[in-house]
Amino acid sequence: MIRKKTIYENLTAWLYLLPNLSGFLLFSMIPVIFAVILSFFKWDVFNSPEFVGLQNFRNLLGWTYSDGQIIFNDPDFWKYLYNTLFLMMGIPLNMLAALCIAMLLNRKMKGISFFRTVFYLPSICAGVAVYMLWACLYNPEYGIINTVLGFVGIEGPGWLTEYEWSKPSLMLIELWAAMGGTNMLLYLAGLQGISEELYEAAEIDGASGFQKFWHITVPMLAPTNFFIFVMSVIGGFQGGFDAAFILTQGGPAGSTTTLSYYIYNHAFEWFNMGYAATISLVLFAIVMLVTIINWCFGGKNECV
Amino acid sequence: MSEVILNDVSKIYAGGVTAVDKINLQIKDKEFMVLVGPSGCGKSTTLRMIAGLEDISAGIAKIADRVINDVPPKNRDIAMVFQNYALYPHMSVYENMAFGLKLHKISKNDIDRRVREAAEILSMQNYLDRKPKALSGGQRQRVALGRAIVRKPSVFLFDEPLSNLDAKMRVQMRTEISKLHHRLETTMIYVTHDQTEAMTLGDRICVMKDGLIQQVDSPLNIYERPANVFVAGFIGTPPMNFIRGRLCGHKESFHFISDNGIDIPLPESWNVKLSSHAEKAAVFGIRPEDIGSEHAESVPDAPSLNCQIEVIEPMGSETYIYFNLGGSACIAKVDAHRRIKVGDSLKLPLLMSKAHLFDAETEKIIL
Ligand SMILES: Nc1ncnc2c1ncn2[C@@H]1O[C@H](COP(=O)(O)OP(=O)(O)OP(=O)(O)O)[C@@H](O)[C@H]1O
Ligand SMILES: [Mg+2]
Repeated sequence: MIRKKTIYENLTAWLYLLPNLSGFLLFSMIPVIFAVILSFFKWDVFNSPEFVGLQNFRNLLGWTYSDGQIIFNDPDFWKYLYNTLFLMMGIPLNMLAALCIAMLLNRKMKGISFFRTVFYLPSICAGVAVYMLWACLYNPEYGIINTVLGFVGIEGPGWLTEYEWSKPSLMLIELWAAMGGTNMLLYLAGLQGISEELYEAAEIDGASGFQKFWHITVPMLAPTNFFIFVMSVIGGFQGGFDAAFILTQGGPAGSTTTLSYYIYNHAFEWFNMGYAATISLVLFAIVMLVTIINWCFGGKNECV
Repeated sequence: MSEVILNDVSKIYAGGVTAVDKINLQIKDKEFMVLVGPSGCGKSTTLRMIAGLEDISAGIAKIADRVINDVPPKNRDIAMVFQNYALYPHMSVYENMAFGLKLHKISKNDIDRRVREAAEILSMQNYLDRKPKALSGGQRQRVALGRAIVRKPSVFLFDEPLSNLDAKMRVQMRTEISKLHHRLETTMIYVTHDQTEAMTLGDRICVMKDGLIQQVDSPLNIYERPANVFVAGFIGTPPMNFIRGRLCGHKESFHFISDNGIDIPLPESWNVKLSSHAEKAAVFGIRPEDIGSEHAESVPDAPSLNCQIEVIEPMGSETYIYFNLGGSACIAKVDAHRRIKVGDSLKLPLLMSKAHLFDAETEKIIL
C-alpha cells in the first residue's frame, strides 16, 4: 500500500520536472556530453567523424622547443586568450560606473523613477541595434565622435579599424552597456538594502559624506560586489562574440577576436567541429578554475 | 553645563504632516528626561531634531546655551542609541565602539583605553572581537550603549533602545541604563512608549500626544497629579478607571452622579474647587489600587461601589478583578488572599483622598 503511494508520488514529481528537465537535457546536457566526445574526433560535418585521441588537445595547448624558443602549436589560441583577458580589464571600471549610477539613482528626489527607467533602457534594446548604433558613432568619416573631434582640430582614428584602438573602443561600448544595465540594478537593490539607521549612526559618530560611503556603503555592498565580479569574469571569458561578429569580424588583424569568436570560427566557418569542441572544453576549464579561485578568496568575507 | 532647551520647536514634514507642534521643553544639566506617549505622537521626531537627523521647521533648539538649529550632528556633542541598535555589521564590537573616536582623530592609545573602559562598564570585555551578528539582542544593545559612552558626549539620546528585547532582558537593561546615568552624570533624553520604563528611569517625564506636550513632571507627581484624562489613563498599569457623569449639589455637599446613576458623595475638602463646576459634566477617575484596598477599607464612611466580578487575574502579589459599572469596564487591585470567585457580588470602598475629577469638556483635571 505504502509502496504504491511512494511510487505514485515519485511519478508526479518527475512529471512536474519533465518539461524543464527535457529542455535541460536536450539543449544543455546532451550537447555538453556531445562536445566532450567530439573533442576526441576530427569532424568536418560532411564526412563521418574520425577518432584522433588527444590530438586536438595537443594541437591546441602543446608547444615545441627549438633554438631556446617556445613555439606554440596554435599561437592564435594564446593570442585570442590574451585578447579576451585584455577586454576583461574593463570590468573594474564597469563595476565602478554601475555603482556610481546606482548611487545617483538611489537619491530621494522627484521623478527618480523616470531616470531609473531611462538608465535601464539600453539593456532592453536588442544587442544588434546597439552595436549598429555604435558602428555609426565610431565611423571614421561621418561618425559623431570624429566629427566632434574634428571641430577641435583633432583627426580621430579609425576606432574599430586600427589595431591600437579596436580593443579600447570595444571596452568603451562594454562600459556604456554595463553602466546602466543589470549590474546597476543589482547595486541599486544592494544600496536599498542598507539600513538608513547605519548612516544616521555614522553621521552622529562624525562621519563625512565620503567617510559614510567608504565605511558603510562599500563594506555593506561587499556581497553584491563579489557576485557582480564573479559573474562579470565568467561573462568576460565567454564574451566578445557579439561585438566581433557584428562590428569587427574579429579584426583588425585578429585584435578583437576572443575565445568565443574563435570557437565560432572553427566550428561554423572552417568546420573543425572537433577542434572547436576542444577549445570550448578548455574555456570551460579556465572559467571553472577562475571561479573556484574567486570563491576561495572572496566567498568567505560576506557580512551581515 | 549641558542643558537642552526647546523653544516653540515645530516639525512639519514634507507633505504637511505636523509631527511636533510648538513644544517648549527645558532639560536640565545631568537630568534624565523621558519622552513618552502613544505611537505617532512625535517623540522620535523631537529626539531626532535634537540629534540633528531632522531639520527643525520652526523654533529654536539649544544645547549648552548654543543654538544648534544649523549645527551638523557631529558637532552637537551628542551620542544616540537606536531602536534597532544600528551597529556596523562588518565591524567587530571593538571597531564599532572605536569608529566614532577614530573619526574624531583621537590617539590609538586613548581609543583603546576608552573602549576597554566602556567594555568593562558593560561587562562586554570578552566579546570585543566578535561581529554583531554573533551577539544576542541584549549584548548588541550593550555595544550600542558602549559606542555612545566612549564618545563622552554631553547629551545622550535614546530612541526606544529596549523595545526589541524580551521582557526579562528589558528589565535588566533598564536597571543598567539607570546605573549608567548615575555613574556618568550626563544629560540623557530617552524616548519610549512604555510607561513603566518612563516611570522607572526618568528624573522627569514628558508625556506627549499628537505632537503636543501634555505634562512635564517627576514620575510620582505625574502619577498622583495627572494634568488631564489622557495622562491619567496613559500612566499606570492597569490604567485608571474612568466613570462619566456630572457634578451635582451645591456649596456644602457635592455628589458625582454617573450617567448610569451611581452616586458617589465627594469629600468636603473638595468643595471650594468644585463650586465653579457645579452641574457640569465631569469624569471621575480612580486608580485600581484605590478601590477595595485595605487602606480604603480602613477609612470610615468611604463611599463604595457595588459590583459583580467578571474576571479574576491573580498576579501573586495582588489580584486584579474586572467588573462592569453600567457600561464602563473597571479594574480593582485587591489583596491576593481575598476569597473571591467569578460572579461574586462585592461592595468595594473607594479611597477618596486619591480619587480625581476631570472636566468632561476640556478633560483637564479639577481635583
Ligand atoms: N519622514 C516622515 N515624513 C512624513 N511624516 C512623518 C515622517 N516621519 C514621521 N512622520 C509622522 O510624524 C508623526 C510623528 O512620528 P514619530 O516617528 O515622531 O512618532 P513616535 O512618537 O516616535 O511614534 P512611535 O512610537 O511609533 O515610534 C507621525 O504621524 C508620523 O506619521
Ligand atoms: Mg519612534
